[in-house]
Amino acid sequence: MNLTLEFTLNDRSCRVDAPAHFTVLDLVRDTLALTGTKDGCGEGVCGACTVLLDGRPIRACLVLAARLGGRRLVTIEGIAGGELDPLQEAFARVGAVQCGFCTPGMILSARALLEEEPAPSAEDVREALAGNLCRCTGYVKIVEAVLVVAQGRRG
Amino acid sequence: MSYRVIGKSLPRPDAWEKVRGRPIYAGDLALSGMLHGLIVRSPYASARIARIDTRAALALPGVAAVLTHADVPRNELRMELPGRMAEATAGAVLATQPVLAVDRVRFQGEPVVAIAAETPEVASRAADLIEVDYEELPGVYDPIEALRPAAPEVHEGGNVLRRWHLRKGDIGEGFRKADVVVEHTYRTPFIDHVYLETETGIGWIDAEGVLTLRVSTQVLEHFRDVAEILQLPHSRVRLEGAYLGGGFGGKEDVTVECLLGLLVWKTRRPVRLVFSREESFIGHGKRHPYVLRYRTGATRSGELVALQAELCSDSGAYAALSPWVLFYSLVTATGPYRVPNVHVDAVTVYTNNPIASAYRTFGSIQTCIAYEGQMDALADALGMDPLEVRARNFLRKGDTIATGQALETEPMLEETMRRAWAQLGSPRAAREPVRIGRGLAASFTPYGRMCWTHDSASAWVGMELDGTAVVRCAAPDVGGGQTASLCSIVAEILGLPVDHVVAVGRDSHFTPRAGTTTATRQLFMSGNAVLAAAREVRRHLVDQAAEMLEAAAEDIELAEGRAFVRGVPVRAVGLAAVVKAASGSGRPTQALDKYDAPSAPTIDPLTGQGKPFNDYTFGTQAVEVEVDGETGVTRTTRLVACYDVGQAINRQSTEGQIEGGAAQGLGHALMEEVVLEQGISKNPHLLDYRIPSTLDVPMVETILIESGHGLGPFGAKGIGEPAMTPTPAAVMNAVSRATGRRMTELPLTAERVLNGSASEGA
Amino acid sequence: MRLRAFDLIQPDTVADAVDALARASTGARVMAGGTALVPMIRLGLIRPDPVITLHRVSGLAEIKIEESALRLGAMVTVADLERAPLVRGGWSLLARAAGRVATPAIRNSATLGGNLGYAEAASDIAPALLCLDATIESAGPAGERALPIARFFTGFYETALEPGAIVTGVRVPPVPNGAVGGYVKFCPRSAEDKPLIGVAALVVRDPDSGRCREARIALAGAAPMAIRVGRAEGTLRGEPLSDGAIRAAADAAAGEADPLSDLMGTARYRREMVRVWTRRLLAALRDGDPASSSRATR
Repeated sequence: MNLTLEFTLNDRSCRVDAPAHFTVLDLVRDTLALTGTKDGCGEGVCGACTVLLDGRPIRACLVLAARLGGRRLVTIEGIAGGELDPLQEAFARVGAVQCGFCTPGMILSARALLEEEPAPSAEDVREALAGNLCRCTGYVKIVEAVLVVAQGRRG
Repeated sequence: MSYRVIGKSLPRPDAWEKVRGRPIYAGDLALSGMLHGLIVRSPYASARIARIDTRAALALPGVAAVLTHADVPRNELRMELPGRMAEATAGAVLATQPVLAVDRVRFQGEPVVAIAAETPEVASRAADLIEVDYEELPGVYDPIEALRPAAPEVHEGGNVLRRWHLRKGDIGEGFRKADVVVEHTYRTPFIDHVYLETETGIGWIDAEGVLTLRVSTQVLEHFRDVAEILQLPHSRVRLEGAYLGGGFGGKEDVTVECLLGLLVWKTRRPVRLVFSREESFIGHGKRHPYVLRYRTGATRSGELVALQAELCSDSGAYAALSPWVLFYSLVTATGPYRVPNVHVDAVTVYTNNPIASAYRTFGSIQTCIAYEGQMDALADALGMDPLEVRARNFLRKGDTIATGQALETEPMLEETMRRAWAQLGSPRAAREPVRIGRGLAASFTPYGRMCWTHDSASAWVGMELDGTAVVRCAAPDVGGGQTASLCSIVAEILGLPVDHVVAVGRDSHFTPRAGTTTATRQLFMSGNAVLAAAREVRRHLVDQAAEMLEAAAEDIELAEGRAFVRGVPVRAVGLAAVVKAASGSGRPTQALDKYDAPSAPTIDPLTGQGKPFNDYTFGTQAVEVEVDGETGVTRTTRLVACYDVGQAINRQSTEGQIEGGAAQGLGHALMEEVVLEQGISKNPHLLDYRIPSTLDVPMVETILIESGHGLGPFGAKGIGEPAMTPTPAAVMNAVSRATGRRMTELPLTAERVLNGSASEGA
Repeated sequence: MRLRAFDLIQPDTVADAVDALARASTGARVMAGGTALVPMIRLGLIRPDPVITLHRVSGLAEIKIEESALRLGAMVTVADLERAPLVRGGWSLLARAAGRVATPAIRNSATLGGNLGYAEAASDIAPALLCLDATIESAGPAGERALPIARFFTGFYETALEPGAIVTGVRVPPVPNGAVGGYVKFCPRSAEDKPLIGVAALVVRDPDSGRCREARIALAGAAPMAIRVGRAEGTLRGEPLSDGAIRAAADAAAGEADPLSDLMGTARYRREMVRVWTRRLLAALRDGDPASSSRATR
């Protein structure tokens, strides 16, 4: 069974057909060829598939593509125009990127945190990113990168 | 030493594409007409296959191939042991592993059928239609049980895969001299790598008819394995190394390569093969569970006099790299200490459990748990400070390790220990029911491969006409900054800004071969190869510049993309002009170089004597934990790591390795365990196999010592695996102090700490 | 990994949803947020066809006050429960428990109705609603129904929902004056995890004597379903909240628990943790310690 979906993708309107059983992840990676969103576990635990739906982080692997109708989806490819989002810049500069597989999901979760809480504590950052697993970095420089951006916005 | 580029914290070149989420991983490419692969695996740990019927699956529209063992030209993955290591100790069996099972399956998840279909959905439906008749067979699920004469045989001939022995001095004499003897048995579980990116590859046949695979792999040399199983000339199979979403040793053995190659070759179409997370848990090699029985003797003043150990590892159903992992355990069994009398017997055993193979530290982490547990136990028995007991016995320059190899440089062990411990600061007071404990673990981990492998790496460095540089070196990048390091080295030698150096591609055919990204060897090997090539290019550029500037070659400096006369910066010429002039006059502006690691003969498998590795990385981690006395929960509040890294190439990368290794080590210590019941995994999902989250890892503190003693470029040592070696031991020692009971079994889950089953004799 | 193919029905009203469920063959499943259902489909544990989603049904995502009671639609997300000023203001126990569910991204998709319908014993929300004496509203072939939550969970992943019915909402009566509540989620493995056990409590004390007028205590993960522990509550009624009384209540709660053993922990350990965390939570409520609702691993 196929559906026609109309929604906003990275600030542009999008109209696309997809099978009813497709998740947002299937749609984004396979139909739309946006491969920044990752398939890490299929259980909603690892967070590598995190995207922003109406500004809030969700697990693309758990949400049916059918839910996108009329809503606003943002993937890692769309968080900055041509430039880099301050989070992307900070992650790269501070050394928060090793293998990089968790990075898009981390950045989107961090972005959602900073939208809601511009001055988070380290503890707040850890809580907000608790659902984004990383096996390479030990999270130290990831937390630093988010705090650097938060401080930059304040100062 | 102070360098322009080396040692600084610099953003890595690969970071920018990664933060943008660009398609750089193996699964990010799609090709027209691409098929989707799916593997049907055994649900049983030990069974005979009576019948495989693929007809219904083949008849399904959209199915392009359904392959069994009959379709594999040479259905075996071989492992060979070189030189004396191949001398079989009595009854040892080196069995081959099939690509697709024939009439027997020996572990849950063993591949039986390979499918390629137009869509993943069709592939799944085809898998449902495959009929395999299994007849369950008795299996053996414990390595100690598997050693008993009456145990079911995993392979014909018996369950012993390999034995190694270490003999030094006179162990009887040693124990006679001992005033105190401590004896414990330590146990560690199967651990999963849980890289965020599962095993992934895509393959196609190119214009020259070359079978080409783009795989998330640590070993590009697997093109040979693919060629062998397909009975193709090696030259006809090419392996392109995509950036990995994590490796940690789990992508060191063949994962998707042979199955993918088979599907591509049979269908003649592009195929993508990706393991699901559940499949990754069930299907790929794990960290070996070990039983380590240690008996350590010391004099009243704390001097080690005797160490006797029996190591037993569970290899699972096939050999994979078990003999080598066991070998690393043999070499590291005593810890970084002077012990005059040593007697170690190590055995790796087949069972019908999952295959165990390479995993970060490769057998060094299990021995560290044991030898550092013993040092703390000795300290307690002697009433001595745990730091003093260690300091008294640490290896120094000129000392020999238990294999008889003399250390040629100062290990800096005491400094790593004292500095890590000191950083913990004054002890904190605890409030019941929470108890605070601090523990430490010193460690040594080899970097670089075993000496008799005659390891080598090649690299090509060349200049473009605009003065920028290209590096070609087939060093797979697992996320540890392998590629970035090569650029930094070239930038340093040629006086270029780092972003003027590009390392292109990692490919078995397009780029000079640099060997595997395993064994913490890549910085050492490809780093030295790139260093040599860069120096050769530098010589050419300097000679050319000397002509142009009418100066002596030894007076020419390269910096900021220019060549100038030392002390006279106005006498300068841009590197682009130098390169153009050189090209125009027939002078080379490129170099291909090979670095050969020093080699040595294989060691004696009966005594363990010889030179196993060229060098080791020494480091200590100090940990503070809070243990809730009523729940058993351990929270890690501080973790300080101090290593002699020789020379950090990129400071933030070196720190990142240590921080990540420590986090992975915390998981091993406190929460990770593959739970098996008769060889069947009970937790092949992230919901049930937990790895540390942001809430579980403290802000790891790193202290780097840069002695310049390493054999790598600029005196660098390797850090990838050493970063993790001491963590579980340090945590175990800290929890032991907090609870007042010696912990000996990992993971230290809350329930086990509370009910005492994490300690012996509970 | 792709899900097995299914047809999707996206009804606009509750009646249509109930209709679709009635008409579909036995393979149909209703999907709310999908956070529980989708992993099960992906792992092949269930193969639903068709899937009936509720995201288009109007009026199912309300949060409002009706005659002093809080009315929540079944499609209210867990994140909305955590953030809504109405919930935080008058039913803070529920908001705090909602804030402990999984992780932010899961909370943005998981729904109240889905959580209740899934009836997992280790639900963070169920004990809070049990303490709040909520009523579960449903609609089915026989019409609308309202069931006290104490009768809603009937067994291991089982509810009293009749075949073909869906949860449409929850009604939560006002909290007694002067009540203090808290929720403790105990995660002994990773601090980010399902709860091994969870304890929710609501206590009303007499302002003069300090004695306990009313105590409501509910447990997650300590029985085949989330439960109130009436005997433990009974031990506190009329008693001062002394250490002794609290210990007795904790012991009683441990006694009323009927835990299962699984990979996370044995029944014995769960029971012991019920004892420890009930005691700690009650003491924290008595002492006004805000940490009572923090992520509890220690």
